[in-house]
Amino acid sequence: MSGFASYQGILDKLNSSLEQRSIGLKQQSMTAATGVGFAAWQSASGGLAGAVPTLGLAGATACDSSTAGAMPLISAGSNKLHLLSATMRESSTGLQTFILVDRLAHAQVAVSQANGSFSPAIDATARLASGEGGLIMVEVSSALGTGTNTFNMTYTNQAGTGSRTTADMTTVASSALNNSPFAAGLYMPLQAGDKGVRSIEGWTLTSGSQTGNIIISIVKPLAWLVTPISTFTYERNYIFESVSLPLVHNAACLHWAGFWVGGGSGTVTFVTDLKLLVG
Amino acid sequence: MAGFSNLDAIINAISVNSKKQALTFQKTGANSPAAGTWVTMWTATGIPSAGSYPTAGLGNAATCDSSTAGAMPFTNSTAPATMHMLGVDAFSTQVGSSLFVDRLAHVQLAHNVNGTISPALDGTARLGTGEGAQLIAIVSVTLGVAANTFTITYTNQDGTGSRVTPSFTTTANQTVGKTAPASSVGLFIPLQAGDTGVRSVQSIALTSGSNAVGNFTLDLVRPLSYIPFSIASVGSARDHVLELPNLVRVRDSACLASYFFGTASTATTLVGEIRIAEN
Repeated sequence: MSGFASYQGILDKLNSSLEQRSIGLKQQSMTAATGVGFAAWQSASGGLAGAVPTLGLAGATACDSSTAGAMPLISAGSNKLHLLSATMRESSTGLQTFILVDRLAHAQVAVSQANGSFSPAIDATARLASGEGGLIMVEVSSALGTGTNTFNMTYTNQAGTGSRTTADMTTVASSALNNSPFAAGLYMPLQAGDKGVRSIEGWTLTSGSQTGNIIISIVKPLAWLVTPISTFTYERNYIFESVSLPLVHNAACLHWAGFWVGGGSGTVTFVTDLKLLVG
Repeated sequence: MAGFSNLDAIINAISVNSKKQALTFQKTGANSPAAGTWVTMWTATGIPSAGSYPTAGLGNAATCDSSTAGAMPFTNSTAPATMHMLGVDAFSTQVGSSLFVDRLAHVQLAHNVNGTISPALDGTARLGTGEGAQLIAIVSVTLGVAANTFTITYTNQDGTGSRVTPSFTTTANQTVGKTAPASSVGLFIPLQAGDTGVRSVQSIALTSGSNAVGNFTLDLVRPLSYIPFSIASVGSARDHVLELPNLVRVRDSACLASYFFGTASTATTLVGEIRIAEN
């Protein structure tokens, strides 16, 4: 049997083997706007810069723990790896809301990319169970220009039904590197009735000729962590404080995303310590 | 056996049996609250997609479930297991509070409605014996320049019919999405003395006023979880296992939806996840 059957099981495991630590350090330029999403993926200093896929509809790749930019992880083999707690210290002058995600796959396109099919598809199925789907997150990889573009994507939903279409989403002029290009939220809204995405097949530019590039990724949100006072260190306990024991799949490509709270620009440093345990 | 007998059973369900589901939502308000008023997020776009109302009329009451457009989709429990809410993580771009509900049934009515709701507005499909729901009136088409006053006849939590609410008066010129009664009434329409809830609604009586402009809905809902947002865009958390140990029951096919209480007149974006698990 894999997994923890009880709290005593967690204690027993902690007493018999060390928890697994995953230390992350990212430093990235910040141009923050309240409520706008961001991904702490592409930044470099102090940690590996996240890999940026080749530009175009043909550049989609799957991501795993060996992908540059992912937080290090040791395989749990046939057992289950759970997140027990997470620590975060961020240096910005703004407050932050963080979401730890497993980045399943991604592709990079110009925000004015002509209509077409991703070939290969942006395929997230390697770490999705049957009937499970991820969410579509978009981040800027080359700052967007003036004007706005509107686009949608076709995808296969959590049940394996293809030709599903996201809502049209419109970019914000001059969206900055690492930020979501959207005015609010982090994810592309899905077709009514869908709760997740297994792969993305198509891109449709509805309007606009804005410049700049974006990364489209399929992510699985795992855990939330809030740092209500900047520069302080905060920890979230996923056993007692938030009873959820997030499951981290073998080879998960872990990184932080989230939402800016304060405005401003500068450099922000994220220091993370994940404590995981194999059960 | 239904339900969780102890914390170990929850840990076992999450880890060994993989019975936890995380329901992500991202709703951008279609409606702007006024300070101190509630608005529905039912018609907000995002994840899940926007919900809609039945055609206006006393004969068009409809039940809602997890397949209704606007509901957060999830997988039902496997009998005899029962589904429970473990917690919520979320943020709002505006300071305020959210209430998550199981939306049992709804009907849309003209501002000068007076008569029998047939078929009845019926919440019994997901109410246990002796359990009642709450009534919320939301403006669906902006109301006219004069207020109207109503009473509602309903069947209470015990199945006793012909119960009558105290009179409530709509707010003249109230705009779409807001509660139809004055904000001093709060979110829920008060019930006859001694009643804790409503199982079904049989009729509505116009006791004074005649303004015919506008429509409002009657939403029959089962409140599940409140979450406050004391700082804009800073995440908030609710743990329903240890912090607020009520393990809110989420019945199979529940129509999960939300309302937002604003402290300003700006529409909000809500992003978060609800964690549910079955034993």
